[in-house]
Amino acid sequence: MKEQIKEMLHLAEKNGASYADVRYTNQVNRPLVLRNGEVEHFTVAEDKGFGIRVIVDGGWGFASTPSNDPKRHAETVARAISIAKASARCKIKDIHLTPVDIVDDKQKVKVEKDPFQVSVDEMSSLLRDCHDVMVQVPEVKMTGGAITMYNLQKTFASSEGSWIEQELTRTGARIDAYARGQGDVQRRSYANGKLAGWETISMLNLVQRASQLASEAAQLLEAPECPRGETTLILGSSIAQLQVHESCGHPIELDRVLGSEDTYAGKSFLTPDLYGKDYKYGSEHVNMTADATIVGGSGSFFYDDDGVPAQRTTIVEKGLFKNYLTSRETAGEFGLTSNGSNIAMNWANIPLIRMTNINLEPGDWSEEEMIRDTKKGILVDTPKSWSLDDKRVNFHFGGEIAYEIEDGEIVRMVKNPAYTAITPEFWASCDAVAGKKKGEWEVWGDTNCAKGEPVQVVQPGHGAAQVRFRNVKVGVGE
Amino acid sequence: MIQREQAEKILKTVLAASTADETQVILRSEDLSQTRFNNNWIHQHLFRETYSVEIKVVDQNRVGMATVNDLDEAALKKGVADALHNASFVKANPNLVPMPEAKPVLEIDGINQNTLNLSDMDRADLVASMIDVAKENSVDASGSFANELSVLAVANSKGVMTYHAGNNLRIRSIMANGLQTGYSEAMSTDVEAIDFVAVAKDALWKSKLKAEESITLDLGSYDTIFEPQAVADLLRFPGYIAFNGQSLADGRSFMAKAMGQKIFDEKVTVIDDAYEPRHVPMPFDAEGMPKEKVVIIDQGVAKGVVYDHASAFRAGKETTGHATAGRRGGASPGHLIIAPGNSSIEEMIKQTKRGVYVTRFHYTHCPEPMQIIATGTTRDGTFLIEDGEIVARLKNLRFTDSMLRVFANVDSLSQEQFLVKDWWFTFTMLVPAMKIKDFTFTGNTTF
Repeated sequence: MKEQIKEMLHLAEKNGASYADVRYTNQVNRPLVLRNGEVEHFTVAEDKGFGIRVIVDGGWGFASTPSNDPKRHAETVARAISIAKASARCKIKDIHLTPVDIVDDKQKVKVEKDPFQVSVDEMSSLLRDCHDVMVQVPEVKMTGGAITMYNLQKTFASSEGSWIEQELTRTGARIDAYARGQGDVQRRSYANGKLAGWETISMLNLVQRASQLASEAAQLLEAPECPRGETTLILGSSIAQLQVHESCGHPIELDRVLGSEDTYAGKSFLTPDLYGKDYKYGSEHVNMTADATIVGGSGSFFYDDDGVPAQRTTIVEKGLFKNYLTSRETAGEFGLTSNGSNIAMNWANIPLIRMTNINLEPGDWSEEEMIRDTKKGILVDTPKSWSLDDKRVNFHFGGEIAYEIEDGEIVRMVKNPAYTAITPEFWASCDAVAGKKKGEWEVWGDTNCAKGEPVQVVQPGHGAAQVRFRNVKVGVGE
Repeated sequence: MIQREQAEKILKTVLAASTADETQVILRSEDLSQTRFNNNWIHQHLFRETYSVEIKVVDQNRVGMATVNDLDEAALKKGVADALHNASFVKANPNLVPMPEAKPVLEIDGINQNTLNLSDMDRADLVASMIDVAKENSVDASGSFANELSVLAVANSKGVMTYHAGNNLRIRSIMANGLQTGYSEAMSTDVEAIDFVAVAKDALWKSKLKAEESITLDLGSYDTIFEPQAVADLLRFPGYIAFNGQSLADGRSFMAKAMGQKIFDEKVTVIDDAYEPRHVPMPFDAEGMPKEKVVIIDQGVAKGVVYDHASAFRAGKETTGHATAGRRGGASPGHLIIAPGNSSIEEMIKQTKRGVYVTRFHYTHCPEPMQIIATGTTRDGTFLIEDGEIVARLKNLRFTDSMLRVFANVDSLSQEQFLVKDWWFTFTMLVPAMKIKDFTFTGNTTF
């Protein structure tokens, strides 16, 4: 394969490419899905191929093929060149890539137990145990469970001389309980995943969680609707991490800031004129980072698809906006070098700026202290729906479950919670972040993130703990 | 493109290699050329060629699956071996529905030569024609131009052997007049049927109209006119939540207790028709079963849902040919159509005393699936109508409303239908523009 990749780079340069890179990826997925305790879906899916990206006449071209045939590779290189020339038909300036160190490296995520060696029996037994526990609650009429894993082997080679091989293994799971009654259906769910092996699954305590989820789903049928109005809002870490994803992670992607995602994902309120001005993104309690180096983080890797090493970047410091996620193409807009965030879903697609692990850093509160300190409010957990405008300013989130807080105590469960706000006002109203106690802050890996045309889906990570906001509009329809 | 002969050879190789009681194989391939432009230049431009061969075996009531994207005989045989191996570890399910027997499938010529022959430079030239419109009017053009050629071939060990190839293209245009934007799109199987400059100009007028200022609307309910792509987002929710047999059986669909009842305004008729020539026609589904035309809502009355083979079998019905491929499978509408009315967008505006004009939505979601309470924001051209005229540009709005209420409150539908996709690319739909009485806006944004 090494010779094939080198030949593709050689052909590209010979035919006028001022820059070229080739990515070969081979990804094996092994999902097991149960529905109502029965295996609904179990497969092994292998997806492999070559993608070549070139700059010719100052324009980008990309072409990809799953074929292993050298003749097809040559045709794919020719197609990438043809596309780049067509791109140059409509250019306003030549593509310029910021410098990067030339690297020859090989890296592999360490796994304690290879998830691909775990038998289907063991996987399905675990999910059946979850099902059995959940259906002991009579109101639970439907259950779901899934264990997912992938092994990704990626080779990146550039005409500048880099040769990088990396192997990433990810393991995750999801369980759902659906309770039905009185014309209502309520779901409780849990999902998480890590860049690690089967050891991830044992850390998720799925059977124990299944019992709690089933009980909560049944209780939600009887629970009153979440009250409407402006109140103190506490987000549990499982929904706080998605809030970070949607209202911080996406707006800091520099390609969308510059307009490249306009037709689909939209732009950003963090416009280029705000860079370097210490724009007030949130309150002094808000510290956010992008960190692709977190061991086990779903959004971790060793190098991005520009060949830039994984790194940790401060995004928001004491509420002030500091940095975007960048690529070699976009970092130059601010005279910077890339912070290594350019990732493609697979060989078939071009790299886009993607979230790595975007984290709300731990605060100095404990969860108990935060509730005890709340006179009146709503605690919401587990995302059910989320919607944001095309600049990530106005948002509306729905949760699976919520609790009313009065005089520092949780007093009752309520259902169908939702809240809506304006992003900078929302984060400016943040007055407490938990994480003081061990286990309160964790890196979640359950988010499927879609971006680009054609759509590319990746799974970033998000560190978060329970977090509190003041004066937020709560309630469906508000 | 994978030709029929090659596809059948691949399918037969898989079937011959399987020792299972039943075997199904789905071959999908896609050649996609996509040009994206932004601020008057092409910034992303690709061609990708993808294949997948999904193999499903049933052996002694145990299901095993494997997917490969390598078409070599050895790789296909390894895929079959993997599927058989996987089946051997799965608990037997005595309630499995047997795979379907072959049924006659119509031949449809899905290849448009004009579209097939479009070169990379041809695409760039068409994009350039739209950028020229922007430059001539001192605005910035952004957009996306996708040209897709896809093949679906399905076979099973009970005699199913089907093949279909088809192509289509879609152009999307945003014109940015400073902070004010306008949007338009067009989709067809024939590139000659799309007037790219007209699409650009349709986006342009929305970026220019009342551009000097955008005002904040008082929240509440307004008569609202939706362009077709916004209608697609509204129909998407019942489309994926409620219009299939499995959600009906699970009680997750509002249709479960509404069959035969009037649930929408009588002006609303929704069908799924894969043979409609203005759509992207498709003669069979991912089980190789012929597509049936399904009347879902007939003049406001709930009439039917779509089925795959298994959900139909369990419901005591025949499949409607709506099985999907991929990880989860199941049934889904694929060719939704809202029947036309007798109005036009211009007439709707004229007939509106005070209302809102919505060009498109962004990132819609559904917090409450049973009542189909959905939310989302408007973008790229939201306007205030007073006394039959557009009088102001509005800052974008968040809506939160029940789609059951929305489709019960239809005032009028346009005579002309348009082929569009929803924001999520879930469905391609043929829908008219629509005017709704008392559509609920629940939030403002700052731009």
